[in-house]
Amino acid sequence: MKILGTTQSICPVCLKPLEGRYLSEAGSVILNKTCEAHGTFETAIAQREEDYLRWTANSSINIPPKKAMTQGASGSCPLHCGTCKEHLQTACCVLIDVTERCNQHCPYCFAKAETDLSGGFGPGEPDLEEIRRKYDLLLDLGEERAFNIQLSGGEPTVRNDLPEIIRMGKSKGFEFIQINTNGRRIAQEEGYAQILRDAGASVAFLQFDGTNDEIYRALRGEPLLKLKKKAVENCRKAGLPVTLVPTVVRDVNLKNIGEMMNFLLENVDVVKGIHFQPVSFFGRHPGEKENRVTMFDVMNELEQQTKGAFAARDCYPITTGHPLCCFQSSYQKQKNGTVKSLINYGTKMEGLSCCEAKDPLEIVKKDRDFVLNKWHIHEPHQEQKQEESCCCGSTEACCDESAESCGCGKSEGSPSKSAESGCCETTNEELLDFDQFLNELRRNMFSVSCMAFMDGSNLDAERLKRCRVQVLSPDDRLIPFCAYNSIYREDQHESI
Amino acid sequence: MEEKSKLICDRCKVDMTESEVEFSYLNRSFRHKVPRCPQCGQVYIPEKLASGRMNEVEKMLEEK
Repeated sequence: MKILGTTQSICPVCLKPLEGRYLSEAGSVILNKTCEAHGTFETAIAQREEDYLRWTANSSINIPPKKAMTQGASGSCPLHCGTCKEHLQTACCVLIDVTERCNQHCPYCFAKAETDLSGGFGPGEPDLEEIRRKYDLLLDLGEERAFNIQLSGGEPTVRNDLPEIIRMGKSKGFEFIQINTNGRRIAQEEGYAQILRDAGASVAFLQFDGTNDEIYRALRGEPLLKLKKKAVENCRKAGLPVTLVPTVVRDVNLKNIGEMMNFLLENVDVVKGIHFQPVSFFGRHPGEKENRVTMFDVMNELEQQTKGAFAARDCYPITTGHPLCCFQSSYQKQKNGTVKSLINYGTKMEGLSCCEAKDPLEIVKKDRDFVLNKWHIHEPHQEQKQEESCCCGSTEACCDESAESCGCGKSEGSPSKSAESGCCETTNEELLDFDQFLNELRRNMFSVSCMAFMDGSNLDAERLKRCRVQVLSPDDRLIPFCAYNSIYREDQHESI
Repeated sequence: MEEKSKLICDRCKVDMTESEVEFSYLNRSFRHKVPRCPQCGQVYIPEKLASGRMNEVEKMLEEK
């Protein structure tokens, strides 16, 4: 056994801050900690030490929040979240829980939501004025490019005024508003997806745990595959992009990952991403035994079950987060049905998703635009439309701007820019032009990502300090998602 | 209608002509019509193309 690193964690029973040690044991990595009152706790981090070492070696960029909202004594993380003066990353996405009610009652639910189908307001549910105030607060707390917003709950679609909530957010300048949904209402109410789309919803962040009903019976308590397919179909009709969000449980659907990828490929025109979420041991979950799926398990299963089509080497961390929190990858479905990784080109080993930008505000913008561009159904380029409908039948003659666009205004002159290589005259009709290529790429590209949440067992304060997914709490604090669900949700523990 | 501007190759001093050329970038190939010197093959990349479509393709392929 050897110590690979230390961090600050908590006792999952009494929440007392403790030292956590990352240990290598028989080639696997665990997080180990001991509470004087409650004993020793261990949880899986990576099955292979090499994965842990490779990922934690990735570089990072820290861009702190504009202002600290709370502060606390050194060494007491995460008991004063808010975000505090020690927090290292401004949020990329902020969750607003618009309800605690739900139209399902899943055996697994991080929010412990209860079935409640009443159409009005539930207890403690923010009304439209309160949501307006929350939006204004987030505009104030965020940078020039506003936070991405996730409307969550509970199930946000149980609120009949959800379209109004979306419209209000868009009108205030939030560019990206995703709806965290189980898809039930979208499937059952014809035209509802269109209503959400028209209101300005950016994407349906759709609970989708797999491709057979045994999985849904285990995770959701009822067979839901048909309903999920119908939800996807209705989103397709509405032009509302979908990101599939599977909760991954070892003995339930870890071995279904390959089939989930096939489902995505069959629906790539509307399904623009899959975002795996290994189950966390907070909220409601059956059984006492922790049988944790790690981010690396997902990566490796993805590769094995797809016979290498989706390879672990295609995945990379997001540099403005902690490398143990998530992986990301992008692909294009090709005409022959196979997939091509879009990130084999130099940046992935640096784990860099937000490019060479140096200006923090530019990095923040690119970070937030990342999902905006990824989980999106792109319209064909305007120029492409013009070409297709051009009365003269020419592809470029009537919209040629090449000679004017050099800016010199002269009828004769030397080229100001030239390319001396890589530009051979071609008669290859098979080749796509830039517009066709971009349209083809956008139509068939999708992202594969995973977020490994933390609970009381695997909580690592260094990861929390770099959390970019934050919840706006009822008392107006921005709390890292994992801390919120492990510690701060009202019914988790009292008086924190 | 205004007569279209012409570009002259600074090496060969001949008119460049609109040609469909092949671009290669990160193992992908594309075609696009740009002014090209019929003698030396040098091409002119208009500003709008460089900062527009080419830039978009570059960003998409490099995950920027």
